[in-house]
Amino acid sequence: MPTVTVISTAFAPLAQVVGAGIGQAALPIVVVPHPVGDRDETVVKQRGERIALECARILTTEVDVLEREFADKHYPLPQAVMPR
Amino acid sequence: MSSSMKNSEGLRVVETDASYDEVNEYFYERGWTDGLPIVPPTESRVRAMLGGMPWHDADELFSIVPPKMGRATLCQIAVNAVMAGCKPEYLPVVVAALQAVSEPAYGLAHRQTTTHAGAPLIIVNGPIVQRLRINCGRGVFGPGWRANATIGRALRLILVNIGGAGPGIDASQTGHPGKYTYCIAEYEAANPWEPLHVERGFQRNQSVVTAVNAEAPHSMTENIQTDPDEIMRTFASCMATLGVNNLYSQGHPILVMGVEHAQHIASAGWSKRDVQQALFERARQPWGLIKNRGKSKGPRFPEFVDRSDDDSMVPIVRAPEDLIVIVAGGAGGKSMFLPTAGGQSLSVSRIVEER
Repeated sequence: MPTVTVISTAFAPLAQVVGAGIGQAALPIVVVPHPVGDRDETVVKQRGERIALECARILTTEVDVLEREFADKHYPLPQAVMPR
Repeated sequence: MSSSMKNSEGLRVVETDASYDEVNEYFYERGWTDGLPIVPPTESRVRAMLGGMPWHDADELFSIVPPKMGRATLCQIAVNAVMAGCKPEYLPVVVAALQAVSEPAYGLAHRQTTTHAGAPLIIVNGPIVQRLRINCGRGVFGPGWRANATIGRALRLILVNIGGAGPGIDASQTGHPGKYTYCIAEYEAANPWEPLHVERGFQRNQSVVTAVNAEAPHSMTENIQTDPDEIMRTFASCMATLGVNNLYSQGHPILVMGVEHAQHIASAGWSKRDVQQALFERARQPWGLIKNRGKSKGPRFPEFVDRSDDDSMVPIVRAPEDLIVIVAGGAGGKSMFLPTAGGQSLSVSRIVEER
């Protein structure tokens, strides 16, 4: 079944390790800002629309293209989560 | 580091003339430590460690450790035990602890990746406690005891190196110091009641490890009251505080009762079950107070909680026996409460294999 994983920046490296652990090293991951919530409903709505568009793109892209895109993708943690 | 080869048992061995300091830097830079210096896992040290369980092959698989789904063979476990500073005779306890956290009820995949602060607390019961000199008395959660320090550390290194839950992957928002090591024993000789492993159906002469994913211990001081009812009142007030996960999703929180409290309570004729029942009844908050705060409420409330009634009282455990009660520590009027993540991660007990 075609699936897409949506995860915030704070948890993206974790999602990649979990994906690799279950044999999906090139798991397509849509990374969204953390936290995705906001007090302003309009902002949340705009974010949701962008996420939906990216999900649609991934769900309609050929598997071999996605594998090339996501196989070695690096997801740096934001400074707010892990100071460098 | 220089050349890599396989020895006669198929284990990969790296030849090097690097110094102790250089090896430690190499391991640290690759995220293979907990931040403290490790004991370099040389071939001779790993062989000696494997001597702690000679009845198993080095390549025997004991667990698949999430999130990386790494293969925890006895050899890999031994490597991490060496790094942690364990003696070979500690290896069966490390293995039993890993087996315990690998049981589905413990929910290791979730524990390895959650934002919750919990760490696997290893509680050891039975004759192995004396044999390995695992501290159960004064300073039970503190430093100074090799077995406590290194058994817990070995499990942490296994979770990091085999499971892949190092910094950046372990999503714990804050963690807590028990993530370096978290291993204690029950003070069975000072316990007026049956010890934890006997309560759970094991024989007193069996050695047993119980793993619980627990938060840091919180001290509950009661230096004044000696009446069991009043001591329970102090404990219950401390345990059912807003924000404690167990109030929202129950599970197996832990009461580490000080020996003096235990003596006061037992001498008044109370059993351990009386303690569990009293705290089940008293460590509660009204539904109306918790329903819109804390965290999501799982389907783990006892059936008697009525969500249509704001005055309905919610306990921190589903049933009295879900509250883990052990006796440990030194002289003084303090007991410890260790909240847990809630009902999604339960305690698991495993026999320590000995021959």
